[in-house]
Amino acid sequence: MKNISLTKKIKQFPYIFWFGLIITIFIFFVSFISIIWTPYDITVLNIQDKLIPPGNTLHLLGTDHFGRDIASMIMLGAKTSLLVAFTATFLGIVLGVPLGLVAASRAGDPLDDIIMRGNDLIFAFPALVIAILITAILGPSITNAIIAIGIFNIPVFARITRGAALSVFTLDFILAARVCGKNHIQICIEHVLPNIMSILIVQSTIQFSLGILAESGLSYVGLGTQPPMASWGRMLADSQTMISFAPHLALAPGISIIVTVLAINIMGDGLRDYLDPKLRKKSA
Amino acid sequence: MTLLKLKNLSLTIQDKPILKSINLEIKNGEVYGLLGESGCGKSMTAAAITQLLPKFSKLGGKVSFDNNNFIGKSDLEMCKIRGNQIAMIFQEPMTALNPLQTIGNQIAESLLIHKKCSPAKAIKKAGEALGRVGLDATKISPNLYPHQLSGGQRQRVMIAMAIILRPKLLIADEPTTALDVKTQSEILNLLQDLVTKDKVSLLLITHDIAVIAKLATKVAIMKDGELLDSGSTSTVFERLSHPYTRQILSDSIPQKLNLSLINTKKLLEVKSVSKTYQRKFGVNIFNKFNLPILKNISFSINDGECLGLVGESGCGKSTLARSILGLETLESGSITLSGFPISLNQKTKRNVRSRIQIVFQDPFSSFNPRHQIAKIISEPFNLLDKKLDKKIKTNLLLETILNVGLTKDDLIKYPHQFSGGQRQRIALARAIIIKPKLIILDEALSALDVSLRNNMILLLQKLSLNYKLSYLFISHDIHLVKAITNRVLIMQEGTIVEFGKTQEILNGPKHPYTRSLIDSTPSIPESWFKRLEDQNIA
Amino acid sequence: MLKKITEYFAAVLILILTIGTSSAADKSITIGMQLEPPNLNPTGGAAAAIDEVVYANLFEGLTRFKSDGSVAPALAKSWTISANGLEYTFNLNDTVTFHDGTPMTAKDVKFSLDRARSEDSTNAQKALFVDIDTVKIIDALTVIVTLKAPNGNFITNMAWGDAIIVSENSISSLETAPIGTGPFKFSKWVKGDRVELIKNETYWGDQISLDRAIFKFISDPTAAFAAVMAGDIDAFPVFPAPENLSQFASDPRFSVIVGSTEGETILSTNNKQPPFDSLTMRKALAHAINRQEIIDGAMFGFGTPIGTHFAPHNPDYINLTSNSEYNPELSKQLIKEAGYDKNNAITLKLPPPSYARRGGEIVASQLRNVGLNVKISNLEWAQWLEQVFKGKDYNLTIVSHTEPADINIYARPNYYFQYDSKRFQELMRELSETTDPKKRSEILKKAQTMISEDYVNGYLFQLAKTGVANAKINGLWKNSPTQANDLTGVIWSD
Repeated sequence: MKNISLTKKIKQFPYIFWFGLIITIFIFFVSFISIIWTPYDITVLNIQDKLIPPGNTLHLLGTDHFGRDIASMIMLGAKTSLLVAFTATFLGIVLGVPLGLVAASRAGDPLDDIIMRGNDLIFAFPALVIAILITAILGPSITNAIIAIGIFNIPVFARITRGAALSVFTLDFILAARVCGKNHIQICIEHVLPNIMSILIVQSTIQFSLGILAESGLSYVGLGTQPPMASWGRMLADSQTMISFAPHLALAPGISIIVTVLAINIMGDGLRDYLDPKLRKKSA
Repeated sequence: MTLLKLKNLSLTIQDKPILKSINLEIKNGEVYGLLGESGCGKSMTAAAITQLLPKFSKLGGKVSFDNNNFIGKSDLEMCKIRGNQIAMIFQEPMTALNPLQTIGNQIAESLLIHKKCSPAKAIKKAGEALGRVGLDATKISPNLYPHQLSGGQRQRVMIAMAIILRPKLLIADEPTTALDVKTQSEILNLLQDLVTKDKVSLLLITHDIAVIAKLATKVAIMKDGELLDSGSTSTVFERLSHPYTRQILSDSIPQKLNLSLINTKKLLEVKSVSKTYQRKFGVNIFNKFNLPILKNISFSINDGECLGLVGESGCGKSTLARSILGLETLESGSITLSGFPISLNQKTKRNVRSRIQIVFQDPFSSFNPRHQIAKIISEPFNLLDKKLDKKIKTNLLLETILNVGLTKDDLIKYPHQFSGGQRQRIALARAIIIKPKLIILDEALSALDVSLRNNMILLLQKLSLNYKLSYLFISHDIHLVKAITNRVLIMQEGTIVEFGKTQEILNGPKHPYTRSLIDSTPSIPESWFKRLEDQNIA
Repeated sequence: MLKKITEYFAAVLILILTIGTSSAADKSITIGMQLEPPNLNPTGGAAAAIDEVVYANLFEGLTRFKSDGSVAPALAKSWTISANGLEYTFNLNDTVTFHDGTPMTAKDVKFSLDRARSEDSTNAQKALFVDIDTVKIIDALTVIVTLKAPNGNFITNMAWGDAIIVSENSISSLETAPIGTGPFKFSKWVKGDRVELIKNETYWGDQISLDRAIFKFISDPTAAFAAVMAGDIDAFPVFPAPENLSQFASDPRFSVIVGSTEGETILSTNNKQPPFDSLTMRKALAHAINRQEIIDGAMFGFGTPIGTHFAPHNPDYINLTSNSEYNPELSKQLIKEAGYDKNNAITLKLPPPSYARRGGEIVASQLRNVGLNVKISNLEWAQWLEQVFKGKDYNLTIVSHTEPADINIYARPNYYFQYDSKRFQELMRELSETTDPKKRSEILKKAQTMISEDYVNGYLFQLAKTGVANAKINGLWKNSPTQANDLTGVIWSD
């Protein structure tokens, strides 16, 4: 593996992957920047500067009805979206993967049934509706949005982990490890996890982009992030009545959501093509 | 009359030469053997004939079938020929049949495609075809599904599919490799019958000289995409004009394993072990069904000996091996190693476990592809009670890897960088690193080409001396077992039918099962070896 | 989200359906409203939307408000007040019948007034009737109401929607199929969509020009905009998105009607919960607020700054905005004086209307500017009523009080902002006992000053009535002296 040169490695990825990766990195970069710096402070309202159209030298993307700089809000909105989606995906991985591994290593046991039927139970609810319910009960806040979205990531990861792990468990090296006296936990960590990592990585990108959509959806109906924190979904909701005379208010967050989700999905597709040798051959 | 003629056939895939100028001629009603080790291009030759090639392949030369050049023909034209005039039989009957369709429908499928024929008539003909491949229509109905059949029956269904349209050429790619010896001989006899009765030509692709010896009238020997030797089978092997021919013939005689350290001290004792699989279907935990897998098994392995375990697949060999490793719960009986019990019921002591290791059949799934060789080999250190010093570990690793004939540099490589033979050496290294007493070789030599097999046997001999090892050698290959074991167990449906000295049992079998096993194993005619010996002397 | 989508669909569907019917619409009018009333009984519920459908159209009282806020005779054609101010003699119109054909007599007046003030009454404004001692029928067309104490407001009180006259026969169906005496009869109510009224041919008063009136409920501002633009709605008297008004104004098809309402939009402050239980903190709050910025940012310039809880168009109004001038430096100083701990987050709970949500963001930004740690949470109406109005679990909220002349709410110590001032309560009692207009005016001015100087709430602005209507419609109310869409004077011009 180590003697493969970098250029050769780059060539192994489809071009579309790099396209997605560069945009994704850019969005991450922008959101990191927004933590320490934005062009304007969006908690300070300048009503007299309201509704400046985009292309202005001071406000590149214009201002909204409170005179806030749209570019700054998009940057902070990116941070919110990524934070929620990342934490929710992380929650799903941290709880879902161990559950899936336990289910797979105890395949056929009642424990397996309990875990997987529990997952089915969560799957039986429409995700966004339950997310709305959770935030409505717990009160709208960014933490509750993360919990609401994260809960639905758990069965996704548990199921995909179990499925992938089951096929790894049938391989001889698992038996060899058992012969070497390794217990289930050691085997899962040393042998199973590394071999299903690629599937999990690809799934993470999918859940990540779904998380961004879910956060926007929750904020759109007013149950996600609360003001003054910026959120793309809330920007969309706020801009609704002004779309006829200030379309840039809706276009900026709308395009941001589309581009981000698309970029992450494209990157995930590329990763899957690379990590799945069967698909890689076809695209070669 | 010549049916198929390959003239200067060459094939490149992504500019990598696969076949180099193949010339070959198959006459009507002839069995033509194509012999070679894995990766030599045998299967690609078959693919080139039927034009079922992977993407980015470039074909050169001429493939004329019935005076009809295939090269440059469109896929549509080839579809009319494939199945109709040329039919194929594959190695793996498990994956070649669609599990969701009845066998009758699958056999009738090509009939419906190529001949104008009503479905009802097609099914009737399918029934007839089953009769032709020796499946009694009263017992094996065309309405069965593949999973309801045994491996041998499935292979017969495959053949029925191939011959239903009475093709002129049948290509059989390793048709018996995945089968047990008894089924293998049945299928070979069936193929022989079809050739003589229906006057089809058969292109038989195999790595096994014994299969060639049994069936093929003509043979071509292939290596690295080139035909090295060809002609009538008896001439090629009796004349042995090509050095490679001589080499593969001599390689196919298994190396004898000399174990000099045998004594009568009992290392492993298995006493009346029984086991029943309790399996459940779906979520209904009350619906259990019991399948006895081991019935009252008793035997022992002496210090320094190599004990053979022979039986068909499903006879319980693997379960027995796993029981000895302490990975199965036993219902009754006991297994002890040097007096210490091995069982999953009560936790086996680590130091007992550390005295038994295993080498698997499949060199590809035996290692975690994400781990370096050093990490793979050092996994058994886990069994040691006290943690070893890092320096001692490094020294042990180095010593072991050199002992199995690999180099120090190999320690930092990954499994995919090794060939099948090298992988089995790595598997051995993993087995011996903590100096066990017993190694279970579960079909460990079966997946290897003959040229590598003898080297492995030599290695086993060397290791048994260096490490004072005993082996439990599980195999279905009678020739191999004869060569390397000193005592043998014959197992059938979970019971031991015969147990004793290898030479005595295999030369004079008492049990009918043992006899049928030996009889159905194809063997290479003695006359061929004679020439080999003569040449060696000369 | 789903609700919004269905609303869009509905809007599009209506657009398609109305293309064929718009030419025949001359004698009917479709009024857009943001909220659907929970029922149609103005004597049993507080929701403003009830009155907005039925007041003056379906139900009438003894007296009524006119569009300028003055009180005029209605079912009572005249009245006399005894010298001691306790006896009111009402003379009723003699040709009045209910929509079911029965005549309206003194019996119905007595029944309605007794019902409203009875112990088990669910009337939302029982305070209107507390002073009544007895209601006596003299003859079919004469009623004498005797008060316990003189009340200068009594004639005005009788003009409220909560004081309309109902027939005893129709009580059971009052909520869903109301029967009144007005120029319109109830026709049908398609729940979630519209209420339809048709002309009452046997109306006792002046004949109206319209044959039909449809009240259509569109809560989403975007859908409302589309519906008005499509001509599906003839008039939206309180259009929910002031930002769209400039577009309507520049379109010759529409006329924009900007008037005033009785809606004092205030930053309601919980007077019993720290940190705003301290007068200094409330004063700091008042000086931290820049009203003009809120009016510009949240209402797009529509609204009049107020300095107390009183409508600026009322003759008794005094401008007290100077009491709470925008002065962040003073505010910061006061906060420092009060010893506010920045770790104590101040909750600002906002109900759904855009004046509250947008105004809330601006207010929060202004308060942060003076060093207050404000946390916004957006609530639905049900949650707001539960947590803020009933539960009093909040620091600040923004809401518009649309009831007319409602300064007396400050005399209720248990009202949600929990202002408990004996002096003010005394003042209100004095007011209710006074009939002399000059004296009343003085008391009202005193009251305005008192709550302004006590900085009970942050007084933001008087909600403008920002309506849009088809340019051919005449006769809609410009202002909202009470919650009503009086259609009796509406005519289509050609």
